[in-house]
Amino acid sequence: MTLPATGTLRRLVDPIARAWLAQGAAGVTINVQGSPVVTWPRGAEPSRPDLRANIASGRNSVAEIHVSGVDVAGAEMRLRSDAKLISSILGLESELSQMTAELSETQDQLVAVFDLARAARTRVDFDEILVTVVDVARDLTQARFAFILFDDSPGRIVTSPSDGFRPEEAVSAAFLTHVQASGRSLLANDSETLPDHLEMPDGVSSLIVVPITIEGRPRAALGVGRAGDHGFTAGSRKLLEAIGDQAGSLVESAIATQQTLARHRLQRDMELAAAVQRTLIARKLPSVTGLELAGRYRPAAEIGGDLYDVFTRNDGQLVVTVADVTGKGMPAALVMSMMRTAAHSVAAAMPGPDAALNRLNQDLYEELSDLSKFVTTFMAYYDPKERTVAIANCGHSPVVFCPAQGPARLIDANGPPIGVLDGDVTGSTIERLGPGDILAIGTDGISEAQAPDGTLFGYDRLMELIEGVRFESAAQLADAIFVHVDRFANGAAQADDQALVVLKGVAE
Amino acid sequence: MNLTTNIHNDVTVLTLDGRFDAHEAPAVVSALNGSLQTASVVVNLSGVNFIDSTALSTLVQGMKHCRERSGDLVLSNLQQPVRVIFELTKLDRAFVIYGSQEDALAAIAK
Repeated sequence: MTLPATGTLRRLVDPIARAWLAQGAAGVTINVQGSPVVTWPRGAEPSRPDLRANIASGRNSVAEIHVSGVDVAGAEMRLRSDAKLISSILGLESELSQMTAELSETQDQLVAVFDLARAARTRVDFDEILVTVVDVARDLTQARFAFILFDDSPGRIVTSPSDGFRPEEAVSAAFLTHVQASGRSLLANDSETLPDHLEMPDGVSSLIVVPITIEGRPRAALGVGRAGDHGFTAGSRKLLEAIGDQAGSLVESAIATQQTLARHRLQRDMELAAAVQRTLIARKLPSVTGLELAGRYRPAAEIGGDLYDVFTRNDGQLVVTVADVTGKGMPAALVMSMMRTAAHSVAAAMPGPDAALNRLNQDLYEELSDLSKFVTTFMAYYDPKERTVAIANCGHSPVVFCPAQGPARLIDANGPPIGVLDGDVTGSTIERLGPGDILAIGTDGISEAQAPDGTLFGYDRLMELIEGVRFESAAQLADAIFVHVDRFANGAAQADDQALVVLKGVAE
Repeated sequence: MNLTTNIHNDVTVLTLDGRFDAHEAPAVVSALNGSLQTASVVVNLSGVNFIDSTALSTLVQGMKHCRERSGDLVLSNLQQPVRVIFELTKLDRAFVIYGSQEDALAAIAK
């Protein structure tokens, strides 16, 4: 028990002292170690006591109460009772004082932990979070040093700087393995308390190690150490466990934030790629005598693996290319970029679509094999003088030819898609494309569009549709096809990329 | 999709059953790449009612690998909807296709 300050002592004993004075006593004093510290009446010279009694804490006497000017007999017992009472009161006062101090310290620690959480929430950098954690751990437990051990390989350690002491050299990974295996924290104020396989690091007198759980598993350990006489209390262990829990959550939320950022970055890249693709594909179609042209492209996702390309060669012939890469999304789009460049350059150079596609196959066979992809490809050269179109079709459909009069028909492939067989893969056929004749080339996203009950749009429906709108312009035709496909799909999501080019012969 | 592998006289017979699409392709890629112990493969498609372009590219890839190793990958027992796809794309000119597994094995044996 510690005695309170003189003023408090006077206040606590005052009722008892006054009672003695009222009963006729001349003076009352409280003596500590032989000297009076408080006297009643105030300022009176203490005279020789007639009675004295011990004020004790346990077996120890901490003070004495002296009363002078009383009749001894009968008063002695009373004084002793009073002394006991004073003892109790002073004991309680002492406890209260200690509790208040501890509470204040706990409040400080709580504030520090909140600060830790708040500060770390704004950071995504793991290293900064971990450094903050070790610093806080060291400060709050009043340790000499603090560290975090990780279970990756090689095992990382983050430490809180401390003069003269390098925990990274002293603390072994065995401590991490131990708390991972036992699932519990470790507190040791001497080497005897440590399990056999663990050794107190040099110069360290006390150690606490707690597990840090990340995504359900103890992936790291947080520890603090002291190098002097004072050991760690159970309270410090609890506090460190709490900090360890916090650290685990902070790391988990940093991981989640990083993943979200990565997703956003990817999404943004996709959007940029889609913008590039839209620009390349939506370029204005050339005009050519005797022909109406319309082109449409609808990728299934942000970007797709279908292609159409229309340009005029130096000799005046119009080249139309429609192609479909196996697969969807980014990989297909990248292959398609490669295809567009290669197809454009062979078509500019080669005399006919068959020569062009055979050359294209030769050029791209190796790469497409390496990528395990192939490309169904349609290419046509329209001669505006002859009003004919030469067609080479490597595995592509649907290709519909609808003459000005008569039924529509499918134009078959001449050979397999580009990238399947080495060597020459196609020949060519010729069609007239006079006034009213229609050539429509789509990709299988159109013919394979599904109704909610699973039926496919198919080729017959497509041919009937084209026959039905044969008097419309190329643009109206193209729009009509998509309107009908969408109506057929009846709200079902578009599963595959859709591209369409319509060529319609017109009178001069 | 179900996938079973058997070996008959030094020829792997890969039997597929179900919808063969991009989702199922990786399993077929493993069967045709890593674990192939023979130079030739017969892919029995009797149970396959749907095939998409990614699945086709898997077969094309397998076929190229076998031919590089002086063997071949041939197809058998194509259902009608699958046969149509092969005809449209003219992949029926790229692959050797048999009506039955027995015919395929007999032809390879020669």
